[in-house]
Amino acid sequence: MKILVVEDEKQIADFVKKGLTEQGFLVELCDHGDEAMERILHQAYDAIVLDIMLPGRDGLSILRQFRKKGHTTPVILLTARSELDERIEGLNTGADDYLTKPFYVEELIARLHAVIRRSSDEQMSLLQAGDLSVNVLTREVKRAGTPVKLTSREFNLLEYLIRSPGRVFTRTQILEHVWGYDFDPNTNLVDVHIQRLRKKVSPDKDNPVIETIRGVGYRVVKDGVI
Amino acid sequence: MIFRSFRTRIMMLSVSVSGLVLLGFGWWAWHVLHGLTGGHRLDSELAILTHMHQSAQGHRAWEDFELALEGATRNDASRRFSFAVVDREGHLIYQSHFWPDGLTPALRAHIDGAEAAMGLRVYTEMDGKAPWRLAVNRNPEHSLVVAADLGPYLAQFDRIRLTFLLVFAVALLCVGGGSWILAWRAIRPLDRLVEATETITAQDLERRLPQGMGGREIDQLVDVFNEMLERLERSFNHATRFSADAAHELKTPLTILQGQLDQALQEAPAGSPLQQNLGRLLEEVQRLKVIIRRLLLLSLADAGRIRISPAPMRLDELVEQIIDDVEILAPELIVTQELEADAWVNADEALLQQAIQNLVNNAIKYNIPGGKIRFQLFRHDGAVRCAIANTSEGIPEEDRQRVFHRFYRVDPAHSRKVDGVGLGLSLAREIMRAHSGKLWLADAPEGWVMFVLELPAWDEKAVDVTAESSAEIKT
Repeated sequence: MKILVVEDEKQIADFVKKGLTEQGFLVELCDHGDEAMERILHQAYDAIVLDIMLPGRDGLSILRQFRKKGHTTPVILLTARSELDERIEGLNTGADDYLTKPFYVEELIARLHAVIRRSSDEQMSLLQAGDLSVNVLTREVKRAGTPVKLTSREFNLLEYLIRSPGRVFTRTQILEHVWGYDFDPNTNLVDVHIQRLRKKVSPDKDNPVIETIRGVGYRVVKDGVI
Repeated sequence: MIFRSFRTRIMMLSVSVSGLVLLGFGWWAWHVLHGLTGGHRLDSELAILTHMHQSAQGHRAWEDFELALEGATRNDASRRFSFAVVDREGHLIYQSHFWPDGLTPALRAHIDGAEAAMGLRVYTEMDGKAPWRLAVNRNPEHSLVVAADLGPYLAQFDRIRLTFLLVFAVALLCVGGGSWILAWRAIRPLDRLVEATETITAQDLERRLPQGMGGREIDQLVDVFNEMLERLERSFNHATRFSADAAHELKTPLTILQGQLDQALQEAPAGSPLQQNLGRLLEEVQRLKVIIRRLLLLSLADAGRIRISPAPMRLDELVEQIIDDVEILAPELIVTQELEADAWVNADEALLQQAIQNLVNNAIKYNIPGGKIRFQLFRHDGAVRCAIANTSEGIPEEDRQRVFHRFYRVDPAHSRKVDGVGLGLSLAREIMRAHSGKLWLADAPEGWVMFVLELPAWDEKAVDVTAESSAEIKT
């Protein structure tokens, strides 16, 4: 999966590239608006990650031009300005999704999966870890072929973790993403829900799908290997 | 107070001034008129008549006089003269045809007595019904009495007086009405100015008042006002843009910080002290993110640019979810709930959730050990209300107004224990405002603090009906 990341801030581009590469994406970087315009018109990408504030042409005008020429490649906008304001402008211009800074790279990965799936109808909706399979479209969870019933919160929590197997999530990160809490990370909430989720998806204590990283947070075991 | 109205005062003033002028003029005119047509002229006419004929002797002469008198007044209904002649003893020796008998006894009383003076006397006498003006000219042989009926004169004066009063009233009405209309027209542009000004709020400071609403004076006022608005807009935009820019400028380094820390966290050995440290640093980054996000939202709210993407949702379900969280977050608190089901509202779920979370967060933080939290949700007058009450040491009276101020905390000493950076309540209020809703600190029993938020109810039926009717139109 080939992704073009257009971001002029080198350090941001670096960690994005690293994170995406780890998840199996092929990443090209570009740090100038004019150059980005050239590349997206002449090379094929599966998705484009586009910062709005760029030297040369800005992201929105690149996107407008790109869509005007009839290209349908999914584009995710990165924005640092007011999220609510730019969301509307960006989506009107033809972006498939947007992400406000600061963002976690797994958030970007999740959205990339979503937009690529949307554009190619590819069946990437099935996520797997160990004997657990999660269908993010039908919101069905199966453990070794047996359906598991989850509450909507538990499902969101599981989906979030299982999207990036092996990646460590801090409790605040989980709280922010799954609950939308933006304050006072009282991490009890996460711990209690993780315990409930574990009881349902991996009752076998010696072989947990969700692993606790002491003093940090949680992660989904990658390929069944700790 | 009606007298505080400029219009009323203008009207009252002009009415009283013109009333005074009219009154003075009327008084003067009355006197002049009275002098011209009334007493003096009549008296001298009577005197002349008695003088001219005082020497007439005998019936013939008196009959001639009567004829002359009738001839002189035939064409003038307002003047009725008659006369009588009385001898020294007071006997009536001649009376003209129209002599009112009622006057005779009084006449005698006047003429009787030797001490009565010779010569001319003029006075008024009643003949029982109507007043008469009498001129008595007495000589040694007899007295000639000429009488003029005052009735027509008085009637004439009555008419004049009535006319005066009518003119007076009409004039005052005209002046009053006219001045009210003038004042109304003069004030009208001011009213329009007030209306136009009322529509300008902090959210649309770029608006200006239109010119040409009234005369030159109003235009000047509009000019000055518009200039003031411009200065206000400039500094307001400056302030808003400053916080927006600041938030923006902070976000890039924050993205790098968070991204790199996350990267390092992933690479550190699982559960190592290094990874734990990195985790704590990420939490601090999270705290910074929260502050910046809230400041940005507040600055958007100030500029009236919080845009919400509302969708119909059940407020009771959202609150129930949050109550579930409370039971995990603060298991030592006793939570009670009375929620009406199916409380539909049209709201931006993420923002609304944040507003309620902020309230609940406070209800937990400012609670007393082993305290209570009570949730109530009910419909009220086309709106949905959610009341969140908690036991508390209470908010000091003087602080009740300030709880929605930015960076406000009830007790500064709590600032470390409490993590909400004091923006939660003001943000919650702005979020409610953006939803055309309200948030306020309600009166609660001693030992309780209660916040109430209100949103317009979303009426499913109303929407269904319109959908149906439009479907009908199509078919």
